[in-house]
Amino acid sequence: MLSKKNSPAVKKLTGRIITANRPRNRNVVAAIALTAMLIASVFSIGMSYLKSTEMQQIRLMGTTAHVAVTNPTDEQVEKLRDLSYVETVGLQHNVGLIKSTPEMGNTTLSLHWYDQTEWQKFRLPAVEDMVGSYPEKYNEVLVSLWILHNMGIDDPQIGMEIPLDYYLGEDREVVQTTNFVLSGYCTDYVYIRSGNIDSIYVSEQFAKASGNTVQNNGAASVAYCDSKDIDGYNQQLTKDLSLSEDQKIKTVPMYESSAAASSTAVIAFAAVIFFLMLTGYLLIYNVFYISVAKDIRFYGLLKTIGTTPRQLKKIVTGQALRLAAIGIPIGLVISAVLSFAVVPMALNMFDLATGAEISFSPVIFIGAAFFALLTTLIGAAKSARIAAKISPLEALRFTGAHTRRLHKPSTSGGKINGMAWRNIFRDRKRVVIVLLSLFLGITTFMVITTLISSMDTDNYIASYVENDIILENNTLDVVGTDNTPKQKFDASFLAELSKIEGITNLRTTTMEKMEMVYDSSQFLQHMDWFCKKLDVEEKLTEQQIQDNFWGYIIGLDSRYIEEINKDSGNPIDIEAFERGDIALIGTDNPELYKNVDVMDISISSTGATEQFDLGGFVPFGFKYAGGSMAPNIYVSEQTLATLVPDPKIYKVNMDVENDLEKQALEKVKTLTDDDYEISRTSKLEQQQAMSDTKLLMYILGGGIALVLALIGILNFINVMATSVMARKVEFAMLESVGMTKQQLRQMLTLEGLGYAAITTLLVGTLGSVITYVIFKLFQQQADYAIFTFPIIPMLIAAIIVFIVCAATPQMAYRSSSSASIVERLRQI
Amino acid sequence: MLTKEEALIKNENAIVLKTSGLKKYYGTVPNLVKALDGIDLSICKGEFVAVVGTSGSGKSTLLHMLGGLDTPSAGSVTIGEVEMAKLKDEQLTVFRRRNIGFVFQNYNLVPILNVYENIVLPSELDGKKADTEFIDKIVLMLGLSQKLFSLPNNLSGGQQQRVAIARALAAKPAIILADEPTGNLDSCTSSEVLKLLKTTSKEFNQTIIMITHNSEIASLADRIVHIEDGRIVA
Repeated sequence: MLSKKNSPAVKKLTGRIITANRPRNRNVVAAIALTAMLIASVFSIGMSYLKSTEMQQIRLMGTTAHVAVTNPTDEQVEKLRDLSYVETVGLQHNVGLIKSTPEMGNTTLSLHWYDQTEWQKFRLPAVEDMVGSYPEKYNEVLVSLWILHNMGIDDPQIGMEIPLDYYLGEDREVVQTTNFVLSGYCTDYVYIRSGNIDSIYVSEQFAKASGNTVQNNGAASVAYCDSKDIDGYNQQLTKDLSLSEDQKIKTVPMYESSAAASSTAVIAFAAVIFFLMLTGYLLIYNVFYISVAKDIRFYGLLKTIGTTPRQLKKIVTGQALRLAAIGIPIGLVISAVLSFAVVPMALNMFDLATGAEISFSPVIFIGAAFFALLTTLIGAAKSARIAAKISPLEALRFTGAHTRRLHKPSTSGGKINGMAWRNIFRDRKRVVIVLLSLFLGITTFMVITTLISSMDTDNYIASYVENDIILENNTLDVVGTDNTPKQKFDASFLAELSKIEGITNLRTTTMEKMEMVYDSSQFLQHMDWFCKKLDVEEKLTEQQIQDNFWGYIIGLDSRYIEEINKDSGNPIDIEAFERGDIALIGTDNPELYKNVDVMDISISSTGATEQFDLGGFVPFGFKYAGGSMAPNIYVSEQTLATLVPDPKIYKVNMDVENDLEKQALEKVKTLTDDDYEISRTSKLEQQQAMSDTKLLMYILGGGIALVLALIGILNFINVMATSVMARKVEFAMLESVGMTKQQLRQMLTLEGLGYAAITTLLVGTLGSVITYVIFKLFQQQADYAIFTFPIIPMLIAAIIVFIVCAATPQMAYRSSSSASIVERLRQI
Repeated sequence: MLTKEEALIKNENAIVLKTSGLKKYYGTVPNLVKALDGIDLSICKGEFVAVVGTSGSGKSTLLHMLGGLDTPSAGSVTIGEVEMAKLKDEQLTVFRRRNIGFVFQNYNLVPILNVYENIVLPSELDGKKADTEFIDKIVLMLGLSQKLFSLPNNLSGGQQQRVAIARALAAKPAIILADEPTGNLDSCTSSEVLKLLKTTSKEFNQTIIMITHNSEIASLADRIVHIEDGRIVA
């Protein structure tokens, strides 16, 4: 009944206290603004990140649909459209298969048809740079740019003729040829995921004429109302459509594990927000605590003359709320300016073409405002309680410095070192807050710099690109294509290559198809492993196995074996390898081959046969991962050359001397460009492609790390300065009994250095452990990350901490020690 | 409307304040300090009592106990029929602002509020509308009419103490507790302030309990209570 009536007095007091505390207000407003800004920025950067990864995933999937129902009947399609939990239904079916040519490399292309819904709702959002439209006339096609590029068309025009050889329907025997007309093109990304399997899209008329139908050759794509419980919807759908045995609901891979992935993201986000709130809380709490402690007599007076505890609480939280009303909008505006102006500007300045998508949503700002407000209220709550609980008498005696009762009597009583050390631990709460904020700030700084440097995209590239430049011969991929293997890297080509300045360590890998004699006593375990890997359920007969028991014999440069031997406890006999007595099996599970002694093989192209002893192992997929049921075996290059005259070179690996990378790459490019049968991978090109990402990470991550470190240091300055202010009288007393100003300053500096030493010790031990643990967790997500202890950032941080710690108490003292001793003593 | 307790306090000549066996000890043996050591005191409505004693005799502690600013180690303080120690913090504050006015040696005005705001603050905190007529009267009596919108820092000591007295009177409390109200004032101003305090309290029939170590000032009181070593000696 009182609370409503007394509000004018409380409001008046709140307002007046705010006007009387300008410097403190600035601190609080800055702290609140910083908190709001950080939360909003992290939200918006995080959302942008999530959005762009989701977009990337959708592009890789090639569709925004959730599942596809295979071979649906017309009734089922009708039923689907009526289901309440189904939002969109698109139809598609396969029309035919494009005839493979060597120029296409290891790509598989089909002709495919989408209905209007499928194209507009599911497919169009997953492609980029769409020009033209979906085919309408009989002979129109829509082709993606990478396919056009492989066809040798780099400058496509709408309306140009595209002649295609294809098989229609199931019939693989009759090749048909049509001059199609290009009605549209776009960039799609599906082939990256599917391994160069993609489609050319045809019109409805063409699709109908092919004789294929949705029911026989197609699927209905389905988007549910939400993506939260795809499995649940799938079960419901199976019931509602009464699907037959052959029909399946295929979930788009992106949604298969989405639940787990998104919950990790949510946890990570929650942790970050919690951390930001914690640092913000420490700042706000500090400023308020100090302010209330300083004015404790004032609050005591208010209580004496009749301000109730509840009203006192309201006065303190009221101040917090009013300051939040200023601070939060400022923080949000800064964050908006940062995310919409500064970050894009910085990106432009560095000429980044990534088009980092800045996500804007009012929810971010509402959320940030809410969390910042919450932080402010929690930060002020403790001080409000102190103000409310204060007994009027205690307020008159309050000095803000509690001393622990237990003091060991010591003979070194008056020594400055000892006094400084005891002063540090005098107020336990203050020690904890100072050390915690410094520790958290510096440790976060370390964690983030560690993560950023470990995420170095150069590491990422180095982890999967083994040499500076790698060339591959596409014509040797024969599975599912009618490629004829060609010697793309002949002697003259290799001579040209080795003439290029800076090329070192040039190694070739030859490869031939071979058949192996299947002996179940030797290869039973291998076949078990093989069937399990490929989900072969039926029991294969010995004959079936023997018919498919082929693979590749790969000729390796002996230097590879030397390198493998270096890291192996069971070295391979290089002399025997070079003589051609032994062959190696490419596997990661050597125990599968413990029954294997000898292998009888015959080269497919020449029919030459040979017997090898098993001489060791190389990792599975070393240099080449393709093949069939037989394991791929590795012999020396010269051995393979004795079996096959002029064996085909599959791969050329080479390194380039430092500083010559660019010009060497240019020369290799001129040798290989325009030849679609050769594919090239180079470290330099990959690094260039990822340098934008790297810079973006440095800018964003470095910025956040710096701000967090600053918060820690700000907190320290704040607490130290006020603790010195609060001890003004004590210092005056010390001076009055004979401590010189010089000695006082020395004591204060020692105190500051003590904090610095403890902080550095904590960061160096516990902080390093935390950094390493977080790095390990992170590495599970990104296995290419390499741990590098952030020595330089840590040294810089330590130096800054020491300087700040030594300087702050001094500065605070200097600003308070100008008055005479008597004046200062009377201030009590 | 008055509560039962308040009605009792308003009643003429009733005992308005009573302490029995009031003790306040600080510290533990062997450093035990007996600030108050069994005080039994009854004060009637409208009485002007001076508490005298040397420095450290316990007179300030007694005043703090009477005003509910401190809690006794033993014994009780009863105002009207309310035992102070039994009130919760919130209730105690409300009780205090309605029934007790304080005047301190160092005035204790709220520095961020002007004279008028300081005077009406206790009533406003109570959610009441200030009785403007009554306040005008006090202001006039205390000679503060010209200073109503000044901030405390711009006033002389005597003026500040007059504001403090005005504030103590404004909520029409039954009891005024004054802790050396003239301790910081010169003798001329002192006697002026005291005269004002006495006239206003007579005018509004308020009980005054005042601490002083000045016997001249004490002689103005209806009754003098002498405290030494935490006990009443005369």
